Amino acid sequence: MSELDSKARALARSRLYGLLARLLVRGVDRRSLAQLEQLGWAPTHDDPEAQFEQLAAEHHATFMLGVFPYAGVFLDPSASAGACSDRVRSHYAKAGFQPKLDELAADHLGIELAFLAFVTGAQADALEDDRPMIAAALDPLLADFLDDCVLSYLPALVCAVEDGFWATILSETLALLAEHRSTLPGPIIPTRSLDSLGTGDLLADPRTGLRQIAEHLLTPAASGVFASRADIAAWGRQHQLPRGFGSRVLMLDNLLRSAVEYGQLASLIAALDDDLAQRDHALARLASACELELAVAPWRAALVRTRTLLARLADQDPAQQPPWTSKPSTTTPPAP
Amino acid sequence: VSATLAAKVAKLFTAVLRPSYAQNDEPIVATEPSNAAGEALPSFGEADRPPQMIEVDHGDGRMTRYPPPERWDDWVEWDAKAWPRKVPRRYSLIPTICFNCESACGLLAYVDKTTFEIRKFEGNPVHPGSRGRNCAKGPATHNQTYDPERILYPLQRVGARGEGKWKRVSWEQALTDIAARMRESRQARRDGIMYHVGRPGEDHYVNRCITAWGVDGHNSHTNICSAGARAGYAFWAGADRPSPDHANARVILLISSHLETGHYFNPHAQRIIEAKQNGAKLIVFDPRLSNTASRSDLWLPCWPGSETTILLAIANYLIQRRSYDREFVRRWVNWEQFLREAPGVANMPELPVGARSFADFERCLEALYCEFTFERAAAEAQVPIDRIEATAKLVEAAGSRLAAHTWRSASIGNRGGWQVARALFFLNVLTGSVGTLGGTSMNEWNKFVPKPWSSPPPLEAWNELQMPHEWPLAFFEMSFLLPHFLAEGRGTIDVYFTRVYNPMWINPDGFMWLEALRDESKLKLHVALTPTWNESAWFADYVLPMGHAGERHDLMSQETHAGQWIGFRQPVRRVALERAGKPVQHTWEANPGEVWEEAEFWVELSWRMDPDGALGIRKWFESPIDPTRPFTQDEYWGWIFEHSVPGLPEKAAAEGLSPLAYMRKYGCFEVLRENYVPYEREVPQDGVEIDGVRRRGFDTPSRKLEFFSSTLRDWGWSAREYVIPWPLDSHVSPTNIDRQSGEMLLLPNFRLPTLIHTRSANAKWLYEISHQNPVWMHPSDAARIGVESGELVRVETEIGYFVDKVYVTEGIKPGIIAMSHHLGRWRLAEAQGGNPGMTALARLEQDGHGNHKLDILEHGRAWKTFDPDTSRIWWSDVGVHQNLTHAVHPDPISGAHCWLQKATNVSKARPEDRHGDVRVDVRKSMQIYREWYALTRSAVDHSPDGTRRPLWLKRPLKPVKAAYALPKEPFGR
Repeated sequence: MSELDSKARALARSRLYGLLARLLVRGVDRRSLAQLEQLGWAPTHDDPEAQFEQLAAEHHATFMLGVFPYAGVFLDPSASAGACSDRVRSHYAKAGFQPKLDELAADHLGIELAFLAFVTGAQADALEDDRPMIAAALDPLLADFLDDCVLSYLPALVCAVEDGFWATILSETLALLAEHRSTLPGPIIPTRSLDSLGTGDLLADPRTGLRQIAEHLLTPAASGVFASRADIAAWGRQHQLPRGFGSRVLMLDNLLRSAVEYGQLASLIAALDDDLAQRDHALARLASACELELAVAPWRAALVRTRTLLARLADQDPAQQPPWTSKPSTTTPPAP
Repeated sequence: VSATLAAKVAKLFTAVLRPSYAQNDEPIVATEPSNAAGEALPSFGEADRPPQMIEVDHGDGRMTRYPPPERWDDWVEWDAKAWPRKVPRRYSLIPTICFNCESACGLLAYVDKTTFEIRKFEGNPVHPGSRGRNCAKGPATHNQTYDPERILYPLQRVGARGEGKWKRVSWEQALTDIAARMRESRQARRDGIMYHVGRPGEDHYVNRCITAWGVDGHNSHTNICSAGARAGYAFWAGADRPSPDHANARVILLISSHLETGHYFNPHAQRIIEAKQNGAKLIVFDPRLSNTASRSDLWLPCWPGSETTILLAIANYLIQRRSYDREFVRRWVNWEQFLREAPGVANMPELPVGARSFADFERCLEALYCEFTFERAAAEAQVPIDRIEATAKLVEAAGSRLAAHTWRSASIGNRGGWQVARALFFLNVLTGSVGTLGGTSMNEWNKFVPKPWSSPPPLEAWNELQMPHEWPLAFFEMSFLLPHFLAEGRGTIDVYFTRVYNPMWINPDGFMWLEALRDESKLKLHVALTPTWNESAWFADYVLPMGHAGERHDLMSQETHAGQWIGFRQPVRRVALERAGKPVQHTWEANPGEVWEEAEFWVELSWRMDPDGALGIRKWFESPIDPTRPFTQDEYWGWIFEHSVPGLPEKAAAEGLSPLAYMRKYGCFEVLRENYVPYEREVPQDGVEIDGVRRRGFDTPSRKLEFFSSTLRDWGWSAREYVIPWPLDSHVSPTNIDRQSGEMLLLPNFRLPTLIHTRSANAKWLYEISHQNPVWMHPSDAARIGVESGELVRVETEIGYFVDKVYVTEGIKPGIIAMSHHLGRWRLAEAQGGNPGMTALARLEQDGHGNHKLDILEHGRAWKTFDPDTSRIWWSDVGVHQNLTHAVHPDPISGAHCWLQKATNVSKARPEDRHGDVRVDVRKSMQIYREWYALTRSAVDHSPDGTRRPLWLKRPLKPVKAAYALPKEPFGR
């Protein structure tokens, strides 16, 4: 690292962020594949054409159907894409970054990386022009942005994508950002987005039904975990329980309801708890490898709260029929 | 951070800072002209980003987003494929005409202003017929243009015919050799050159060339397409094609799947939909639940051949209730002739002709048609009686707004199918819906064919190989029997052009064609003019690459609705280059490789055929400005647009354009907005007197609508069932199909809207949509045979059998199996002769005793080319070539090949059967041919006046009257 000057490092970061932004926004094309090969990130495949098809399909499956790479999905109580747009735009505005967004919201990870490419590119330009003060002035801005809008959720996103090419890309992205953050001023300021949620006694609330529990579990900022359709389907398969199809909330609501009806709630909860424990271990590993303990801490705390919630659910006496098991679903009609 | 992480990042930094990395950092943008088609994917330039992109917005709420014509010279839009990047592209928008089916819909080619590559084809919003809309086949012109397997250069055979060896030759070499052979033939005789056309794609240009050669050489595909319907309509009205005014109809009656697949599918479908939106009712006759049938208000899944009976039952309903348009019938039907001449005709009952008044005629109608009850129709058609009653009531309610159409279905399917068209038009006559708003016009009223500055005189020749004496009333040339005629020794051909035509594949009895195409003693020079490989071209001596829709000049007009228009097909790359100030002498210079256009090719060929003018040919190809050289396309079309299209010069002048420039800009011109009841027009002479006023009338001998056909009577068909609308027994009527013994009816000719005969196997988008043609079979038949969907069946015909997968569906009537037309293409070489994803690799074998085999060695597959899509072919079933197993069925009157086949046995495939197997015995082919041949009534025996064909009947190229004399040595006598 030491043999590269700060201008070269800024330029290199800008190029890497630019590549990652393009990959996340539109998948792999011929040009980006050539660049991936140079970086040693390209997956090996005998047939390059089939490789394109596979990567395109995986991109779609991962980011359109599986996990949604938006800050708002992870950090906002609504768990929705674009919910943190205003938050990221305030950072973009400080640097004069005006992305053409079309279908994507400003808080998409790809747009955030484009912003980082833009700022680091500007730093490289400033250093090229021999104006180091300007470059240095952008460092606090980068640090704030990374803490507030990227590192605050990226570890959780990385843990939500299990394996494959895109999991690799996300892991590499996290490593790159962590390294970058380590060169910027000040310690990481952990997100407070998760602090206000997850507290309160959900089960004591008389309005709580299985639907509300499902919604809680599917709100990463509350539960500390992102559960995809594939996760829910896997839980169902594991216990031979129907979960239907539709929105994730509907699927999980159905799954919990059928678990109650078939007397398998305890074993289902045990499986969920196993998953959460594994996510916690994964977060711990990431924190250690990238020295991101401060960023990861709120997520691990949320996971602890969720596991406690699940334990209380499991401890309920089935004979007493706790109120949340008998509340009708808001989405499915009662059985005749 | 940890040293490990730091080292990892440092390594990445080093990699991205290498110059080679940056090469891929920006999009690759072309900066100069290219001509990639057939050799590479097209590339496009990046335009300067305009200050503001144009948003097309219509104040009246239309959702169209077509670029406005005033912007077509210079149109900038974002490249959709570059999304999410914002890449502006700059185009010249050049209108042209689709060449995939006969509708002549308008297209707009987006020609990149940097590379002159074609980005896409969209609809032409100012085209009066298609109105900016296209079916899937229009945009797929782009596939055909950039097809990796397209033929780019003239090829000449090396080795034996059909051996598959070719060498590239120059256009000059090809022209010189072919022209010399033509000259030699023309000097020796007038029937040695044959131009066999599949899709004409234009209205007069080539006919002018053939006439100029002085040979009777025009041969069409009409007898496998529309001969039945043409005959039925022509015997009524002189014109041979219906033109329903669907948009304004109250009731639309289709004997076909016309809404989705028929002639003029796109222009008609949009108007049918409009009519339905306005409350019109749609009635469909079809034994198959087509998409059209599924959209109908009344579906009559009638047994093929029963259509005429149903139609006459409806006619009878109108007649008995006197609810028909009596005044129209009185004024325009040749009832007086009927009353005079019908008594005494064979099988005609005693007629109450009385004093031969119109009231007597009405009583005759009642007596004649009273036997056509709904009960009889329901029984023959195997359709619930209430549907027939409901149909009759709708037809009655339609009044003069009955739009009715039949073309390639029942009228070409059945022996006597021409009576289906005649019975259908009978309903138009009875309802007075002939040429009315919302009614049914004749094609000639809604089509406009302008004339050039000079036309050669009619031919002084008659080619017996095309119009033999046994079929004096045929519409038109007996083209599908050409190999049978050659086998019988009726003649030879010196120069045989197949032009956008694949006779061996498309015609029935293809192995007979194979034998003919291989026989160099009978078919001496075969020149295939084709944009793409096909099975017949493989057996050619020359394969000459001709252009697709955006690579040629043609002028077209079609009867898409009740108006008249012309559409101008253009070589769009040439026009774009010329717009940019880059002159082009011959279109092949601008087209991919050396792909040419026929319009220039014919001129150059004809010039070389008669270089000194001694044969009288050259003068028709001389420039009107400089007779020492051939005319150019600009001269030819410029003259026509300036002098031969009423209203066009004025319209062009209003925009400060020459007529040619106007047509180059818009690609079309509306000649007449509407043209209703032209037969009523008063004329000073000719025509016919109606109630004391001389009117234009119809192009029949009586100038009236001929309910009674004296032509049929006089030419050997003097019986009730021929001279008036009457059912004829189909060769596949229930009495001719023994279902108890396992026979079934094979309906082999339903079309798919996404394909066009054999010519779309170069369009990847279209083949992804449709690539297989399984055998449709009703569940009851499938249970009887013991097969399920996807299993193989062996379908035996009169001359052989084929093996295909079965598709079990209630969408087909019990007792009938159906297969779509188009599919089952094959090639004989691994790497040539067709796209591997769209054709099967096959092997032909014959034993020398008439037995032929087609074995499929490999079905469709992905293959490697510059186009990554070819490696994405995910299907393997590319259909089965069923036509090889079809016996020829020439209708003795119309000459139509009656497509419906008797499946003598349909059974579960045997262990030795393989998907796609075809076996045929051509000795049986000749036997069936002779059985049908025996039904004919030759002009030699029946001509009333020593001619071989009624002079008033149409022919594409009509010879002089003297050529109509009966042959001195008729074949077989």
